[in-house]
Amino acid sequence: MRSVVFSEVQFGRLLRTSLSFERGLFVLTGAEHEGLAEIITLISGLEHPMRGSVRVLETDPYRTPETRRNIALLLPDAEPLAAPKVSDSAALALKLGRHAQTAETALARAGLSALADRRTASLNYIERQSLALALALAHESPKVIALYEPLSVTPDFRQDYLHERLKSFVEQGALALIATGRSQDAHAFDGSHVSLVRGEILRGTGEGLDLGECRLRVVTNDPRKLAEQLFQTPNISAALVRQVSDLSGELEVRGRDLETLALAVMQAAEARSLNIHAIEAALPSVEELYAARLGAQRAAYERAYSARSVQLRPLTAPVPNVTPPPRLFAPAAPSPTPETPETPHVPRNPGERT
Amino acid sequence: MNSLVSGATLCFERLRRTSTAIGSLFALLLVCLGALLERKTEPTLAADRALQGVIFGLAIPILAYVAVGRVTRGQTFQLALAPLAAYGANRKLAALGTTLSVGALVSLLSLILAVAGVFCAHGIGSSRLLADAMASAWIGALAGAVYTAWFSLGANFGKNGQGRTWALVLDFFLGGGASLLALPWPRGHLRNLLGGEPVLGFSQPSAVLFVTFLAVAYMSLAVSRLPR
Repeated sequence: MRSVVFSEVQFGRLLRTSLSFERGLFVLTGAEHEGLAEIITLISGLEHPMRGSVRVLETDPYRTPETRRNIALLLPDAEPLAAPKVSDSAALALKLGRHAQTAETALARAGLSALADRRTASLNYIERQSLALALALAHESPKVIALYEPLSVTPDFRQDYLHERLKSFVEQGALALIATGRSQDAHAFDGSHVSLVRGEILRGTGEGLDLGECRLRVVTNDPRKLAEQLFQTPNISAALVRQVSDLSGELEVRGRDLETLALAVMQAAEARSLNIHAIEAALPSVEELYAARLGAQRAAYERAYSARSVQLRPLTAPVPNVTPPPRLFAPAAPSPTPETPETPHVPRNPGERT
Repeated sequence: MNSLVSGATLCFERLRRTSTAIGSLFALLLVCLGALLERKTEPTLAADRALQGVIFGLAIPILAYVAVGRVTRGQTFQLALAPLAAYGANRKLAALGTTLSVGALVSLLSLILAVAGVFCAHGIGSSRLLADAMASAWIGALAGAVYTAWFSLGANFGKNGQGRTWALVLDFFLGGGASLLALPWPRGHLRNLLGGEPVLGFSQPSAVLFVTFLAVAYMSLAVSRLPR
C-alpha cells in the first residue's frame, strides 16, 4: 500500500507535482520556495489541492478524520489548541487524537516540562513548534509521520527522543517524511534524501545525478601540511579556505566519493601527525542540485536527439566512377574540397523545436 | 463526541477574553441609553421602538456578528477549525459544537439585552413591564440563536470569511421590508414577533416556526459545507 501519493497536484508552489512514498524515512530537502510546506500541509488534510489528488493511506485526508488521526504531524505553522495552559492544550490534543499518553508524560519525554504551566497564548513560534512536535511524537503508532523542520525547536527539546521515536515508527512500518530547507538538518537524519525543485523530485527517475566532486571541510592545526600530504593521493585536491588562527585553519578537500575523501584525510593526518578538529561534508546547495538536474536533462535530450539524427542521416551511396567525355574549351575545374558531413543542429534548450 | 466537545471548548476559549466582556458591557450600555432616550421622547411607545430599533435592529445582530467573528478569528469557518482538524477532529462535528456554543452564549446575552432594554424603556413601576420583559426575553434568545447560525453560514463564504459581512448587510437592507425579498432573513420575522409589520402576512406563531426553521437551516448549511 502506498502511504502517500500525489497525482498531478497543483497547490501553491507545487505545479503538477506527482510523487509517491511507501514506507521508510525520507528527508525532503529544498529551498523555502520549492514547496516543502505545501507538501506537509496537503498531507495533513487541512487543505486540498487546486488540481490533482492527494491520497494518504488510500484515502483523501481532507475528508477523512480517521486518516488524519493516523498522521503524526508537525505543520509549518503549528497552532496549539486553545486552552488556558500548555498542559491543558496538550491534553486536549492527545484526547482528540485518542492517545493514551498524558500531557505531562508527552511533554516530559520531549524535555518540555518547563512549558507545561505556561499560558498557551504566551508561547512563541519555536515553542509552539516544539509543543506540536512533542505531541506528534506522543502518537502511539502513526502510519504516516510528516514533520516540517523538526530541528527548529527549543534547545531543551531532546533530539535523541526525536530520533528514537522516528526509528521506532519506521520499524513499525510507517512512512516518515521530514521536510527541511537546511542541508545540516537533512544530514542529521539517516534516511533516503530526496531533493525537491519546485515540487518535483530531483531523483524521481531512479537515475542518480552526477553532482561532480564531493567536498569535505576539514579544520586542522596545520592545513598546509595536510594539503601537501593529500596532494600525493590520486584524484584528490585540497585548497586552503581560511587560516582561522596560527594554530588552526580550514581546508576544503575535493574528490569523487565522500568516504574515500574522509579516509584519505584521516590517513594523511596520521602520516603527518596532525590533529583534526572538525570534519564535515560540504553539501551541495539547492542551486547546484538544480543546475545538475538541468545538465542531466540537457544531456539526456541531446543523447536522444543525436540518436535520432543518426537514424535519419541519408546513406551516402558509393558514387560510380564514371568519367565524363573530354570537352573542348572546358571551364576550369573547381578545386576539390573535402566533403564535410552535415552536422545536425543541436538546439540550445531542450524544449526548443528544430 | 470528542470533536463536538472540542468545538465547544474552542468557542469558549476564543471568547474568554476581557475584550468580550467589555464589548458586551458596551452593548448593554448602548441598549440602555437608547431605551432611555426613547422613553424620554415618547413614553408609551418607548419599549416597542427601543426593541425594534436599537435592541433587535442593531445590538443583537452586531453582537452575534462580533461573536462569530471572534470565534472564527475573522477567517473562514474551515480555517478557524484547522487546529482541531490537524489533531484528527471531524470538522462537521466540531463546527456543530462551536455553533451551538456560540449560539447559546449569544442567546443568553441577547436575552439580557432585551430584558434590560424593556426595563429601561418602561421604568420600574410600569404595569406592562413584566409581560413585555418575558416576551422580549424569549424573542431575544431566539434572535441570538438565528443570527449566530446566519453569520456562521456567512463565515463559510469568501476568501477570509467575508461572507459574514455580506450576511449582515443583506439582513439589514433586505430584511427590513415585508415582501418576498425579506423572507430568507431573520430581521423581518423578528420584527413581526415584536408586534411590527409581518413578512408576507405571516402570523406570529408562523413567524416563530419560520425563524426556528431558519436557524436550523442556516446551521445545517454552515455545517454541511465543511469537509469532514
